[in-house]
Amino acid sequence: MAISAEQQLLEVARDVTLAGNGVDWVDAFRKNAAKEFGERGLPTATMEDWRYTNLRGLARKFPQPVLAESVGAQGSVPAVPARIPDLVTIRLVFVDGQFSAKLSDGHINSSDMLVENLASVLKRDSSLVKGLVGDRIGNHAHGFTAINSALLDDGCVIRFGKNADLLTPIELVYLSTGSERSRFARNVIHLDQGSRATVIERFVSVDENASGLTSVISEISVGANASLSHYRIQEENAASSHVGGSYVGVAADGRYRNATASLGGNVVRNDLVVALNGKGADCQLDGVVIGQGKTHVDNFTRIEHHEPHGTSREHYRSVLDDRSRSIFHGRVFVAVDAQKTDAQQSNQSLLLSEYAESDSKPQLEIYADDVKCAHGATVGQLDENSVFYLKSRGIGDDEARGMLTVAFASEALVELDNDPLRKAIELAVRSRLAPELAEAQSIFEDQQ
Amino acid sequence: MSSTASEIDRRISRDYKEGFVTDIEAETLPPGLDEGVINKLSDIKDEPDFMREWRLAAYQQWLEMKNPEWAHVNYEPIDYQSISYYSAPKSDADKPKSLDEVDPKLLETYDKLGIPLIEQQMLAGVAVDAVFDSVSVATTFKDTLAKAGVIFCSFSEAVKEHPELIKKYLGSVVPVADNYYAALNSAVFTDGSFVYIPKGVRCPMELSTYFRINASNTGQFERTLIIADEGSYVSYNEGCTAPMRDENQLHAAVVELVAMGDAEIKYSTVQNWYPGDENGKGGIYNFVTKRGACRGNNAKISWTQVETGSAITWKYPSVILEGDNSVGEFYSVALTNNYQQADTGTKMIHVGKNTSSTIISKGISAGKAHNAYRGLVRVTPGADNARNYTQCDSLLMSDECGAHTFPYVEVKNPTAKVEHEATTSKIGEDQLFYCKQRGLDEEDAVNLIVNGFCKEVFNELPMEFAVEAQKLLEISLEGSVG
Repeated sequence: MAISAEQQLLEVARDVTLAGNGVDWVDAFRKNAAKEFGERGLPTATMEDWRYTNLRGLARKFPQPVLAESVGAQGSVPAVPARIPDLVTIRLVFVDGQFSAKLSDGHINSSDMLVENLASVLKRDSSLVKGLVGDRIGNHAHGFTAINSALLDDGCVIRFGKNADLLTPIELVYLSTGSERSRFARNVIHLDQGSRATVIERFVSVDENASGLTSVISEISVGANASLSHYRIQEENAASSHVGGSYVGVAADGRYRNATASLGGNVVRNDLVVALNGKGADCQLDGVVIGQGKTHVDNFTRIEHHEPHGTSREHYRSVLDDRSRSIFHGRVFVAVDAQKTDAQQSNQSLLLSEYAESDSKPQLEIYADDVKCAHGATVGQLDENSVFYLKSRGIGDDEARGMLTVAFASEALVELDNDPLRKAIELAVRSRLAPELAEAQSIFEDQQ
Repeated sequence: MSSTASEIDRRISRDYKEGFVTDIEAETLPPGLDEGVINKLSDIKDEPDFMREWRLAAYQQWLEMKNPEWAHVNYEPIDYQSISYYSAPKSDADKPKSLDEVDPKLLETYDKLGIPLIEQQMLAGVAVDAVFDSVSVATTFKDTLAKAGVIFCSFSEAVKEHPELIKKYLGSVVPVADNYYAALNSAVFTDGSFVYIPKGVRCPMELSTYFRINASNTGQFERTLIIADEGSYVSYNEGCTAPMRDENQLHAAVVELVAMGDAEIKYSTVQNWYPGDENGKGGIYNFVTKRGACRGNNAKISWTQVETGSAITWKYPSVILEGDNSVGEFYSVALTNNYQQADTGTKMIHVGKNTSSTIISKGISAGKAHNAYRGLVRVTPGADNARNYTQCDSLLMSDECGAHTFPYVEVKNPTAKVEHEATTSKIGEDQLFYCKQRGLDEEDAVNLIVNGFCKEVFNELPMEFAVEAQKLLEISLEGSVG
């Protein structure tokens, strides 16, 4: 086999000084990952977990990676997306995967809280993330996690000590600039016992010329009795692909909430693996997919119940128009010891166009007997009775359908516990599905 | 109890071993598989050339294929060269002379199922002498069927007498290269049933393999082809609730159903092959490919299955809904106990307009067994107004078993309505308590609840079958409560 595009990519990386070079464990970590990537290659549609997502385009011509040294050649500072209305956040901005101090609010480095970009942590004191990087992916590794590790450089580190509580959400903004680039970032989030944090990730293309691939992987541990709310809003342009992953471990009585809004992009893949490793651990995963144009969104989720009394809730909704396609893979795994598990999962899709497609794989794998597990999946259209009802109240056909479609999508977000953020996402959904109903310009709109 | 159990073990394991020994009689092929074996098989069966060529082509296909590994089952790799691919029915001399020689535990089971003595002899493989001429029963059948124009015969007979039908339909629903076991079956199938219902005929009776006495020993590679021509109806029952004596470990059957316009086929299966002992030793591997095609408008195919036997079940009775307004149904109860493993479900492929399908699957897992539902509902772009409803429920009866649900829903048409629901739970303490408080003991209470759990499927079975299936479930669950 000739040297593939991916291999060349690793060659490029070899000549660049990445953060933490010279630190033994970092070097070894990258080297092992490069080797692993050489063995795995990019995932193909013959793999069960990737059967609906074809990455041949990427494999043929892997976009040139943006690495530490190539940044700075960019010159002008890109436009930063607007803040979320009524929400004060601590913002860290990454331009093509590289931290931009100029655009960010700054770091936190107190006795019990650390919020800093990974590259500077690696340079300053790499021991702060030793053992945390590469800790959570485990068996869920694939080609993209390997290449992400091989090119480990920047990202965000969030470490909270015991009972540290930060009410202000941390907002991570990933801007993509330039055409045909691949951008990598790695986040490490570690919440100690009893601590609490909110992390909002936003993925934005600066203009319509931005294209290529963004791959951000987060490794997350939620300690005993700790709580993390984690939101991902993915709103890149139609020329951009996105392969992201969040790998989460939750200790006893810990709580992890995730909401993922996929509002744009070309090929989008979100891996979300949550292991409930302690008694009484709890997770809630919500997702909304708005498919327009040729957007292809593959949500791969896996919830693992390893200990008794765990609760999981998963609720994904897709609205698919044009030639878009949504894939939902949701596996709930209940280990032998995880008695008294309560797991519920649902995936509902609304097809608006004859060329749209919905593929759903809700799965239960259960080895414990005293459990309550249920899942459901539906694919269908708007209820004509509801449309009729609204029309009989004097609402026009288009408007009625718009209202019902927006309501359908928004239902996945009702449990989202951050009001300003929920409103902002709802507005974005509305402006995409029924622009005439949007009361105000969405902040997630027109920043391209 | 333990003494009889070991007696069964001894007898059964001895019997199964014999299935693999090269105890060559007149017409038994030595173990192994190559073109020569297939040619010989074809010679023995005196088949026309087209059949021989078909087998050989299938064999070539098979050689290029790989054993599928995606199913949620574990077993030692099968050595296909250690299997004998043809063995003539056992001579009477080898069979037990009377029921007295048959394992008392087996007889006890027959009694519980309420099986008449004569049938017990047949099932236990007792050499039935001419005094009771069971063949005469079959003959009366044949007359009635012939009057209606229904063809119901063994597959070998059909190959010789109705080659035009075989040529036209064989492999048209399950292509040779469909999967590994289908290819193997196509190369080496020994016999099976063939049914043809002419246009507009409602088959005057329920057909059953059980009554096709002259070809009861169809071996491990069975091939069934049922064709219901326009406007006809047939109900076909396969298998039997009673545990069958069987010498083969690997069963790879293929069943093809063809329903033309306005025709309906109802196919019911009760499968209760030897599941292995309580330590998971022995037992049948049941790797079956079953598929029906609704070729014309308004056609209907309905699968009903009760799976309680076999060490490993790998089976997905499917329907391809090609005709407009065609209907596909799948009703299944799969029960696994001890070390049994089942990976079963269905595929509903919606192609025609206004097609609908219903899937009701009930999985019960006890002991250390694993029970997986794996299903696909696919709505193709042209299948306007397709409708599917799927319900998969699993019941867990021990803390060492597993119940899994792996549905695939693929929709490419915006007018489709597809619903999938699944639940997994154990029998509620409150349900049990309620029954016990009304005077039922625990075992009866569990049986009552399990039967209620399976009711929707049993309702689809022909009546006598349903009664037997209910009893069978009780027997299969015996001792798993507690």
